[in-house]
Amino acid sequence: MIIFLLLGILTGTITGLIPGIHSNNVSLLLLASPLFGFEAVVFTLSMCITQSFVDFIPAIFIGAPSTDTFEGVLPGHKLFIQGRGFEAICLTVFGGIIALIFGSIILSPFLIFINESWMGIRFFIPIILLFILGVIILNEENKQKKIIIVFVIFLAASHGLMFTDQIFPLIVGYFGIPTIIYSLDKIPLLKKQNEKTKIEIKTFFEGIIGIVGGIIVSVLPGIGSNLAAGTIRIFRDKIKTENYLVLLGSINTSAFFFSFSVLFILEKTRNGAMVVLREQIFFTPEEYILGIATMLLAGGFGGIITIFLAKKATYFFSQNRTKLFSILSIIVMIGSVFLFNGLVGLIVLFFSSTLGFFVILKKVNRSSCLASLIVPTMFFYIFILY
Amino acid sequence: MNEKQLSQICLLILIFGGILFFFTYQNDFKETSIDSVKIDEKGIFFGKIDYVIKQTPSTLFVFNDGNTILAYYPKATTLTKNDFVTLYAQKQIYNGEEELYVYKVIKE
Repeated sequence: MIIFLLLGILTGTITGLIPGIHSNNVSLLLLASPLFGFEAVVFTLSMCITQSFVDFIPAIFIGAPSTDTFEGVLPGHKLFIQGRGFEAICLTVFGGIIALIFGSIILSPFLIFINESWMGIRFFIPIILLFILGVIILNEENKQKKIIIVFVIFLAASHGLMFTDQIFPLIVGYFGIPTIIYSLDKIPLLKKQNEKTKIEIKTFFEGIIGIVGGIIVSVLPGIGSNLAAGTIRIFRDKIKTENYLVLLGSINTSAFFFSFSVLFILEKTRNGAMVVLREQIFFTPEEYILGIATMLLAGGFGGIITIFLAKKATYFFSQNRTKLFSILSIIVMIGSVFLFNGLVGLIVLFFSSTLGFFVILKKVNRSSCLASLIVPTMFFYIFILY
Repeated sequence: MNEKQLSQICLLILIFGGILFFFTYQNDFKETSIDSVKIDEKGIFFGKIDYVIKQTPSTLFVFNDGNTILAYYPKATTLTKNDFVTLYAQKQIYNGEEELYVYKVIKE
């Protein structure tokens, strides 16, 4: 069993470090494997939780987003450019740890709540999502920017509706490539990365809010970690970059943590890895407790591994290789898109990058690009519920 | 809080999770047979289906691994007589009779 645990942690570390590879893809291999019950639980959960921590390293150090971390690219990369990349990673780890500690504490009330009320909650989702789009528009400071953001929302929504199976090129285009190219000439030639960090304890409050986001992600189909984070950011306009990274770390980890409980109670899940796991487990109480234990164990491991790797990366990037790696990361992102999404992915990437650039140059709220996720989700709920 | 203290918290969670993990993982399914498994024990059974009583909405069948026992699986299946199957199941008493409660059935 320990072998499956270590294998899961190793796989989660690798999938976290390589942009474009997600634990969901690796989980699919489980279907063809003879792993059942405890072995499947231990491998899948240790992989997913480890990845939820390690994921932030490429997002922050080279600005390469994944489907779970793209909201963190801009604030994380901003700190990195200021020489605070290591601190940014530690903040996301802190968020993940808060999610595990407080997530374990509130697990019982969560189980009762979800069992009794989940059918009712989903009826409000399309209304909430529409409200979010309204807030994004109204938050812009003047009429001209409001018109621009309506245009962006319209374009991003049409991208989302047209390219439903091309989420990776869409997010790389909106949040990855434009950010890196835009920041290329802003990277100081000899900016030394700080190898020390100081986390304010009061940021744990953001971690708690992140758990709420993670719960929403785990319960409602179509709502991803980034959509939840983006939504919370819209309602908390003046959130500090440091606090936002704690929030993101918490959402990313708690989304997996609670998805497993939702799978056990409702035998329904929206998470790709959990869909695979559903076919391989027996739904015994022992499996559930082992799953929680595995997530805590792998979370502790994942946190330590992430801090260790971030420290190594900090040393590496202190050698004035940032610019080189930024260029390299653009090549890796384009390569990953081609590898996983083919030629169509590259075409989608061109459209999404163009829109991403437009948003940066016009200095409007980048959350508007979330319309590519929000609008298809709204339609999804409208069609199945009403 | 600095990075060392953060690592220490991670280590504490790791240890706590490790203890919980150690005490839970021992009750796993192990390969066994109908006559050697005790009541309320779980096991992996390999054998043949002698007779299918019903297939939907749950499945009830007679399982044979050298000895025979009634097996109950709470989901619908397409199992038929003479299928070779692997069962992940628990032996239990139901209405005074021994039976297998099947968690998963894999057709060979």
